[in-house]
Amino acid sequence: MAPLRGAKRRKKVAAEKKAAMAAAAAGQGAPGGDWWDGFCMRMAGTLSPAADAHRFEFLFKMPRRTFNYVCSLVKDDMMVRASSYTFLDGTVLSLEDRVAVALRRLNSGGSLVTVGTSVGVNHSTVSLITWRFVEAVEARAGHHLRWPDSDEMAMIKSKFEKIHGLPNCCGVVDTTHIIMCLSSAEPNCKVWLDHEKNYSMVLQAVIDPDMRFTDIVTGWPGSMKESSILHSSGLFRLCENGVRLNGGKLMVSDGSEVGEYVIGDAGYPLLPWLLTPYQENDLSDLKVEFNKRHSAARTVALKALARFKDTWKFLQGEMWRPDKHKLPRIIHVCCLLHNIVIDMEEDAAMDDAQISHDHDANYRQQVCQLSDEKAVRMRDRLSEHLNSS
Amino acid sequence: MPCCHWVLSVAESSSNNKTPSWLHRLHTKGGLSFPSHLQIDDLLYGRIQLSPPSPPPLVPPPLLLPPPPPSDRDHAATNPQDPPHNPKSIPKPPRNPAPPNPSDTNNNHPPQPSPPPSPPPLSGVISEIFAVPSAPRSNRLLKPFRKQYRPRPRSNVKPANKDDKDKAKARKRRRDDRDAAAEHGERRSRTEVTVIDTSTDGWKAAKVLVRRGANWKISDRKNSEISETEDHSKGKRRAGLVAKVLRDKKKGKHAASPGNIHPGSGILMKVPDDAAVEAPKRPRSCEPVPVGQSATILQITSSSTCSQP
Repeated sequence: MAPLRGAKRRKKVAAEKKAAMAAAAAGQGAPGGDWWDGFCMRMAGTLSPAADAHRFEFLFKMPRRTFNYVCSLVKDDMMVRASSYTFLDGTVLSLEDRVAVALRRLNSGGSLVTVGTSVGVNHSTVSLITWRFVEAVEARAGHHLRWPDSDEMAMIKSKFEKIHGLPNCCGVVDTTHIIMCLSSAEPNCKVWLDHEKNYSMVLQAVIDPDMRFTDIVTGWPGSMKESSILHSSGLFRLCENGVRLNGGKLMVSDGSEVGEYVIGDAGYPLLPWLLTPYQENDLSDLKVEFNKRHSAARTVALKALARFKDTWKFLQGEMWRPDKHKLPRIIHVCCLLHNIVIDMEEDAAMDDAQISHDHDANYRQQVCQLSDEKAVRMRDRLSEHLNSS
Repeated sequence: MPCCHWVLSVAESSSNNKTPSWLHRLHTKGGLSFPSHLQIDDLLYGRIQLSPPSPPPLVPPPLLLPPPPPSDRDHAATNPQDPPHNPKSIPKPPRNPAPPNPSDTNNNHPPQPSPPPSPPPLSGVISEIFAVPSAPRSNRLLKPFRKQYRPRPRSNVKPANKDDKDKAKARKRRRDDRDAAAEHGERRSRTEVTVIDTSTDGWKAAKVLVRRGANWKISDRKNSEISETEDHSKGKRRAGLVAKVLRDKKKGKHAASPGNIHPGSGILMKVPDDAAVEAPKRPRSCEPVPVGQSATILQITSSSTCSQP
């Protein structure tokens, strides 16, 4: 049969669209109809049978309650032009459809075409919806990632002391690399080349014992060291000026005081508010004990970053020449979603066995030799206190 | 092309191994005599062979031959004993003495008295046409630089003051630094990055990253605030559609009513701030959110979730 042309073709397309709209309206009006049922039908061909039990969480990496909360956050922004995005069959995407498409794009690691095909929308629609979602979450969910107030900080300190035996510890600072694929012909591409010869963007995060991000810095190129990123961060400035980590002090055994601090690995400098492990070879028992507790507490950050990259696979897969001005915003939004999921969890206890500790596979430990004399004394006093208590 | 035609006729005449009649006529009219065994090489390389023509050369082509000692060439070119045939046709001594004829390479005879010089412009033109590198160039003089009869005055000429000297010194110092860095294989690169730092007030800022080897220099880009600080007077969208929506909403709120209408229920809600509308206080695991509080926010009934625009 010869293809239809001109007015006949237009008339046929219009008729198909009208029928699709009518079908959508009929489905909408069904009293027992749920959005999830319709979405499952669209994705039926792409869902794996093993995921049937927890299909929703498998798809969106969050429970339905959290998904609904995210929808309520971004509703006003995502539905600005309600009829602008449609499925391939002409049905207009609802709010939940849009949020679902954006979440699939961020957490599946698939390309625009893959995600679009799986849910039945055009790949350009996936791109537009995802970016709209990023803007909306950025604008609406910023309060889910902030430095804890004094009450919350007291809880954090008590958890670190109870679980890991480190009193007055306020968090763990760590760094991970978001790997990209860049062309060597791209200008200044070597700036993004890190010490493991990958093109990457760095994410520095301070993490609490519940694996929640309390502070992040991202956007710096992979060739920058952990210590340089820390030095240029607002966290460093605020802590050095005494605006942060200025809460209650710990009275140690010799009568002196140890202030609030965060802990970091050997890639960070030793500062009065940032304690790193002892790096000498022949360590006394006191120092070995300190390193042991220090290492145990740092696993929180390793787990959190591993979970973060495992959940938001968009950041784990190697992106092909991403916009380096947009990527930090996407990372930020993924961090916000990570915190939202934790905030909305009924039981914060995570299954540790399922969480990997290796968020930066094949990356060697950086070493920073800088140390503050006051910080050295403070760390020694804390080690003695741990041993005596 | 007349020039090519002329060259072809010369080549044809040389292949016949006798002087063409048109050349004879030319020289006779100009008062010149011309030997009968003139060959194309003689025209090309500017020497006239007085001896009988030698057998064809068995050596590599003439272009690859080294030039003869300059004394020979000078002697051949400037022999004062050669009487001029016609004062009119005697050219000036050539500036560039001609290289030896390749057909002479097997000739072991001592150098002959120099014949009347061939017309240098002719050989020069041919050598230029055939791009013969070892051939003499035409005797055309180099064109002198055009003189500016009315030179334009430089508009930005100022008397050097102290500031200019300081700037020049600084520029020189920078150039020296750059050269020194280049010698060590370090290259200066300037990269603009967008950094998100939740500890700063404008949590999103554009930074300029100047890298030279292992040294970093970080500075804020001018007008670096790319979020939160929008100039509404300009009326230009700078931070995306969502920011525009928020702006419009804020305008509408100020203009219309002090409250918001809850999108689901249609109930008028009074909210203190536009930023955190429905969000609960961040729950910690140790301080669970009251069920009632979160329920009012999170409650999206099945009928509302099904609603499609």
